[in-house]
Amino acid sequence: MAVLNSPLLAADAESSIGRSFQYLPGLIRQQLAERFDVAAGGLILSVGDVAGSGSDTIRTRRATGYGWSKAMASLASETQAIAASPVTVGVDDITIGRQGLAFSESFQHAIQDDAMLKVDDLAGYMVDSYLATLRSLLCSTGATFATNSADPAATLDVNDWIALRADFEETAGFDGRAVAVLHPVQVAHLRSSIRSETALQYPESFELYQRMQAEAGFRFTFLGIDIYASQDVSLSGGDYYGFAYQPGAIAYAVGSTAQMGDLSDANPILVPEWGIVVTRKTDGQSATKRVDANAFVGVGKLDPSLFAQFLVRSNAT
Amino acid sequence: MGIPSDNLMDSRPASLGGLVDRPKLPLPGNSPFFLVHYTDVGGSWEVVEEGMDAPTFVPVLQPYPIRPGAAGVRTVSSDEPRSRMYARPLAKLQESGAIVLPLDFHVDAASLPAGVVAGPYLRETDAQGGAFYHTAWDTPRKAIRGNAATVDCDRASYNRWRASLVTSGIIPEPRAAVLEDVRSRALRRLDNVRSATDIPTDMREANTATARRRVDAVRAATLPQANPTPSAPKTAKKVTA
Repeated sequence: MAVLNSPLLAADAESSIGRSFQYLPGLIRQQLAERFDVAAGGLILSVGDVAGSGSDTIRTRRATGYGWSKAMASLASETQAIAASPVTVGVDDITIGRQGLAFSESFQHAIQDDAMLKVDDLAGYMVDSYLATLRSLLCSTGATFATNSADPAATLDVNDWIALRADFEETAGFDGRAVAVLHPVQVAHLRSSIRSETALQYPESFELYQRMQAEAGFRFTFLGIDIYASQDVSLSGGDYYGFAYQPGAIAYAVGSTAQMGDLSDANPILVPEWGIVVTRKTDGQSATKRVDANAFVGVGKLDPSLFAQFLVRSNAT
Repeated sequence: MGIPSDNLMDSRPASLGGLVDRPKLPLPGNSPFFLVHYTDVGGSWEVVEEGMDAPTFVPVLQPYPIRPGAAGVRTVSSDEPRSRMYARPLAKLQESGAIVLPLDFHVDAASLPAGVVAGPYLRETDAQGGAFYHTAWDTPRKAIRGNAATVDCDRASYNRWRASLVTSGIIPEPRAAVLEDVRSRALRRLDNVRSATDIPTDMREANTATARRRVDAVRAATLPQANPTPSAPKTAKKVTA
């Protein structure tokens, strides 16, 4: 027994019958994380579903040599035969892969938890994890664009953006809409460069290009190209591998989980259109619960002859 | 008496993982990758000076992720070789003429930063979110500000190694038009900077001087010459279309 002498002091009581801190009940704050949904932003388009196809790959066909891509020949004489033209064809593959995330807990944790971190609570966040995965897959795929537009010897600047705009415009058939996904540091470099262009320093344009964006992902539009930023943009050899493209150049396929058969023993959550299945498992012997999320999705690029696409590779520092 | 060395088959330093607490990089993990050189496309060659005696054209090497669900890489069954994951995109890359450096491509210590041991170009560092893969010339770290990853790249040795890939014949010299594209883009940049009359004169002059130095370097640049740099990897395998 501890004796609290008069006057009773809070400092004495706290160490014997009190507490050093009080948690706010029922509240836990999630740490900062990028919440950039590339599907909602239209940066990635679906090419379909492999479920029931017998394959893990969706193959899309492309062709050229007719219509707008093939003007008629001007003939020199009234009787000259017209040479028959070839049609060029090709395919692009989008292959799904298995993505996964699991959590487990002891029965005792489930009993005692007061922080909303039971596995059942965490299961509700699996879709967020899926969207983060989709974004990461998009960035991994964009880093494989072959043609680089920026000057790799320096940090990204306005001149790179002028060159990128020219590369888009010099691509026959470019429809005028382009997006770019850059690393936030690349965005900072570009903004620094914009800052030194006097013509861009009128109050309205200064605000437009330099303001902080609360919206996840989107930053600003510059020279007609919508600029998004993600920490998932690849970094290698001291360079960031940002990328820019006509929407459609990067696509995803899923394996729908709609017809997986009976999963009632696992009390599943299905999101068929995204290829997600979340299952639960309880093991009384080890007194544990577990939740597993599987997603069957893949991201790939379509040929540059269909959609203009450029790497935006620039120095990290 | 010491233990006869004949009894120490395949001796190597013990992995102390799990026995000793080692700090892990406070970063998420990432995927392993190939290094790929796309041939005959814009931006596939660049001019570098750092670590070189004179401005030199070197091939650009891009990471190609080995990650199921990205860029054609697939999930394999448990009894399939792991290399089947990337067999199809690898074949497609080679079909397009790209040069893929195999994962077991050996890099001599002479082509690496001081203190980095010879071995494959792909290295991994333990991070809190799993393995963090990077090239042998990159040192990953958490950025001082914010919560992002960054790398410190030893560009001098990286440039010399890329030059050695050309002199050893691993990567063929490009068409003249590819190099001309590098020159014309540098000139276009100079024109852009020089014609930016809306910025203060001193700033325009500084920008113009930088762009002109770049043009001069690009004009003076030559393809790597045999043996001005550390020897090429002797065990390297050439993989071409």
